[in-house]
Amino acid sequence: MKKIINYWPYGLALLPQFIFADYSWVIISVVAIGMISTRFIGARNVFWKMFIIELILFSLFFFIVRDRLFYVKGVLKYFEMPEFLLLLVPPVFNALNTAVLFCVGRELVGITLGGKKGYFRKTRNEI
Amino acid sequence: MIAALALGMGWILATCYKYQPFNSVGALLTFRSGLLHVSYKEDAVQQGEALYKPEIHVDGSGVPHIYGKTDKDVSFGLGYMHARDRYFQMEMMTRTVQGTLSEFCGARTFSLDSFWRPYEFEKESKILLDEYKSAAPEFYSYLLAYSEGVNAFLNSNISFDPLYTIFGETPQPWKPEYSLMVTWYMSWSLSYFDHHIAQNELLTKLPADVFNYFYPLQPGGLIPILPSGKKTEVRLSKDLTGIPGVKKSSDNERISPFEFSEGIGSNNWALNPAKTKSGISILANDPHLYLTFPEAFYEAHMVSPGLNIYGFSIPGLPVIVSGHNDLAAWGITNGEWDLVDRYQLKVRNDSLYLYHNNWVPIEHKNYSIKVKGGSERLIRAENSIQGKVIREQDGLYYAQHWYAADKSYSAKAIYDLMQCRNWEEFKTALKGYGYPPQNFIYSDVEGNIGMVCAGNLPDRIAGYKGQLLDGTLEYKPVSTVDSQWYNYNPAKGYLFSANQQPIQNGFYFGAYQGEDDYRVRRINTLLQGKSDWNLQDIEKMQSDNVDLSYFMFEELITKFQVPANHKELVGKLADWAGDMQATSNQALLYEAFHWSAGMEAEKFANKYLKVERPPSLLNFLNYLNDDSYIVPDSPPKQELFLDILNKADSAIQRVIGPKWKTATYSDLSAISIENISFIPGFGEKVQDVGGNSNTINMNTHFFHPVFRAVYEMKKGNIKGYSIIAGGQSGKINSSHYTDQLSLWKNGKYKETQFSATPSGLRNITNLIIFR
Repeated sequence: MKKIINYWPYGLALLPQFIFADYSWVIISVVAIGMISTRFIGARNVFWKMFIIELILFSLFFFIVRDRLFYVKGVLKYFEMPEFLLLLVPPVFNALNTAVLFCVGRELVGITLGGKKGYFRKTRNEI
Repeated sequence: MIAALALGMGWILATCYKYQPFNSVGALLTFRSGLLHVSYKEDAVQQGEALYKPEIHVDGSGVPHIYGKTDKDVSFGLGYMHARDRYFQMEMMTRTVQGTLSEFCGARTFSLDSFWRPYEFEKESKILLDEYKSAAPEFYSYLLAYSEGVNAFLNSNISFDPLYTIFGETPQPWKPEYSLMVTWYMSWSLSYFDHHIAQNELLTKLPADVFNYFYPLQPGGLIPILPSGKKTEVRLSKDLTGIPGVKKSSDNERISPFEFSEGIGSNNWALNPAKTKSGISILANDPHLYLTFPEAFYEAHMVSPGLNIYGFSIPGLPVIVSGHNDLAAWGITNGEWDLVDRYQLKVRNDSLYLYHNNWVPIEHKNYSIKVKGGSERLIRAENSIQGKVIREQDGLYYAQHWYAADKSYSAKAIYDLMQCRNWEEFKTALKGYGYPPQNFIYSDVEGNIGMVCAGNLPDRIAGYKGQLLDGTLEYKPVSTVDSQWYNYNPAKGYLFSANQQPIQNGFYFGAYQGEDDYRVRRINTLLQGKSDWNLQDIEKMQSDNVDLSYFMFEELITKFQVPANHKELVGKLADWAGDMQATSNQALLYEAFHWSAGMEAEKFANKYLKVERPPSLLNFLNYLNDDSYIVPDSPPKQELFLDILNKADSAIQRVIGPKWKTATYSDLSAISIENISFIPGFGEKVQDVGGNSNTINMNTHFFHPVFRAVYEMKKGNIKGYSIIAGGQSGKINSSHYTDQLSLWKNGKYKETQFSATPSGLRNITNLIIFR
């Protein structure tokens, strides 16, 4: 249960893009979640954890709504690009984007409060 | 840590950067702000709340059948459906006329805005709407209801066009006066032609006999739309011939990225009961326009106690411009009338022009144009008493007067026309029609047929032939001719138009002499030669691909000696009937001859006639075949003919190569239809299309039949068949975006549904009701 609690910021970072129609607010929110998360999760492998979690979740979601982008096939065909990019790009981009924004938030906190030891919380399973 | 942060910030900048005029990659690929949020599925039954209560039944082809208790209900319903399926197109049209397209599309449309903004059509449309408020309150409230319908959809939160997401924009609200802008938009597409510099060169450089031979304004053998009385040859007034021919610069024709340089090719015809197998009159219409997805027209059916109309509307305007009610049918082709005058000015210090022996300041006004992704730009519009001042690249100044920029009551005229019960009401409705001039064909359930060539024709000075006018002389505003040209129930049993000269009389309608009339001759020959037409025959005729110019070329092959090295190539055309089918090898070869003959005509004009504008292909081939006349100092005709063969041969070798004996016309005739946004990949490449610029089923680089429709006018049971190029919806994610394209390409049709009650409809996929 505690492990799950340690992962809540990863799930939370996925939500802004389902809430805000303005992309600027998505950026601000994910960066803010990243900043707040420094109080709750440690610094180790955050980027990759976030990337993998978001990739799994968004791939599942994208699989459900993938038909909404069927017309993009014409654009890929026009530029002589393979069709599988349509399945690949949105989940990978979103996972990468969320991970980067999240980590930017964390790094901002690190820079502004970087000198203060122990700011990044160490999770129980972290050495 | 800092390096990681810098990388992260770099990523944010890259994903937020807007590649103008498009939205950022980050916004497009993120869910709520991006394309994944735009759903393409619609509920089978949708409910809304509104002041008006139409019931809209959308059939399997996406055609709405709109039922209402009042005219305003159905107008509201059409507005709702236009917005649902075509709002992006409507906004592009509106912004074009307003001159605000660059706010949406960025710098690439700046020149278009620079053209439109000085006309101030937004202000003019408000004035016109106010005029309707007092002079035609019924029509005014009809337009208001339409506007309500458009905005009801925009406010409904039902998913809209993904193109808005791609551009990172939201739809602008619709105003009632925007509907009136359609007239100017269509006038620009269909009547903004300015060939006067080239025409003046012909008139001033060529001796009268050479001009009349190659560029006759009233040619013998012409088949005009309406019967003409005694042929009147107009004469050029002496005082207007003093302006020397000037070389045309490259950008004086049309300031627009959408060049209409290939001519247009619409057709309509009507047959009376004596010419049909069933004894019921038939009407056919297939307008040809610059084809994009979506195409210019939207199919709809509207039923209320005062209206029962089926046909094609222009998104933005709640009227059916081609279609039928329960008693009469009508169709359109463009009139091609010359609605532009060009005056040559004498200008001093770039600021004064000589007018009536005085140096008068050129008036100017500045306009600010917002450009998306850039700063506001100022343009300076200059005017003389005659019209817009244009400075050509060669430094010469002109004033251009475009008559169609004036106010026109065309929208109201078509609103009246939709309700006509007979020929007299039809004709009366069209008396109010102004711009752009159209040839309206008519047919009714009583078996009558008619044609009205409607529009405001400038009543120019006697003897006008399209030459430049002298801007230093006193300017007298030109009014329009107060008469109507029509024909009703002719003895021959049929009427047709194909953009040709409407009538041969003393009036100058335009310089039609540059256009070939093979299509006109083909239609006339077919209609004349048969008296048992049925709907299927008419459908086939609309897809007819025979190019009559081949038979003139065939005469030349017989007349001149074909050298041994071209004999195999020319021999391939033996026994060919001129049918430009996609699967034909001969069609491919003939198109090369057609192209090279056009090139030779151009060279002949430049080199031997010393003018820029080439004669039409018809006049040039006639010249080659004519033993009685040769232009002094020009080469023997055999030599010109050989040049055509050589050019065609080398073009075939260059373009097709060794496969030329087996290759088909489809290798050349495939067309690419772009999306209206011109974003690559949202269009379609259509293979296996026949026809060329001379055929009824016209196929050129840009121009194609945007819809085909035929109606059999049986009283109480009107049968209709139609097809549009693409589909009903302009949304790239709609199932109706290109669902009719395959049928259209193959010359097939869908049967229309003209039921007075919803219970008579079949294959309804979507019901929209309002509480």
